[in-house]
Amino acid sequence: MFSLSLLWRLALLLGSGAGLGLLVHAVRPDGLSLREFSTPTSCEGSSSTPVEIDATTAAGFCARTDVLIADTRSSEHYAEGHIADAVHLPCDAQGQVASEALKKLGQAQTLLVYGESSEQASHVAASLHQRFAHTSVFILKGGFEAWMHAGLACASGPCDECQEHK
Amino acid sequence: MIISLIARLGIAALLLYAGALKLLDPTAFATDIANYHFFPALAPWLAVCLPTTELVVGIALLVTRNTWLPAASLAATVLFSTFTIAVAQAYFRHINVSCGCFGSDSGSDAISLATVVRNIGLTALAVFSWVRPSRPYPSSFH
Repeated sequence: MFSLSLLWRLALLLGSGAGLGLLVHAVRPDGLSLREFSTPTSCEGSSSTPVEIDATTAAGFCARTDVLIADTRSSEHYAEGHIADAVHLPCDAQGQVASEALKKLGQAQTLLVYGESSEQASHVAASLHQRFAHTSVFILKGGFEAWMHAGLACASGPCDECQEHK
Repeated sequence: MIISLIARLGIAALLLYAGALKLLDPTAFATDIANYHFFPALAPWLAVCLPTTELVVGIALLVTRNTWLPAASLAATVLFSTFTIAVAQAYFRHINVSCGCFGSDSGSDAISLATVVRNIGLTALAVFSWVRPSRPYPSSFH
């Protein structure tokens, strides 16, 4: 089935197609740049995956107005304590709670996502990364535990938007 | 053999149509490819080379005979298999991306299971036309 002559002809067909494409590109005045091409669409920002950063680095985000923080833990844990001004977005959030949180988070240029652990936050971070293509998404390494351990600013109290807290 | 002939002509028409549309706007096609997050660095090169390759394979499916015809069918199989893998990985990784299968005529709808199934079907047709080759054209065509 795969004779050598067949493979040669296959290579010749595919190679001539590719070669013709390069030839057309060479003579085309409106051709795209092969070496410096960058995507102009909204998917550009999502070519990298969310990066994990440690608590001390993440604390530097608090002074920035373009940053919002998402807490992916359960309502109970959020009520017990969370990073100041964090938006509650548990990974099983649905309906109005999710849409309100996503609406708020969509305004940020940078998002810091945390959970009980990096692993828990990574699923929500990945989906936020896909949803908000132009937003940089970071994961708090070690989760809320690492933040607490570093003695950084926390707040407590229920999530205002979450029905289950009322 | 008539089924194989219809499969081959259908695949050829599809490749010519898709290749021509992609050739019209290589920048848009490169963007579509990059959005797949599947070797994005290759996007501009693929955007330049793929449309003409589709055209060459499409023409070869129409005009070649004897020893070149299986090679053209195999080339179509290689192309459709590659497209299927790209579409399937985007679908299963939940990447919200437009197919870009027909250049500017692809619409803005995201890849769905139907897109994956369609590509698998086209790959199957290409495989069929390769393993069960028809004569170039029945005698009544001449």
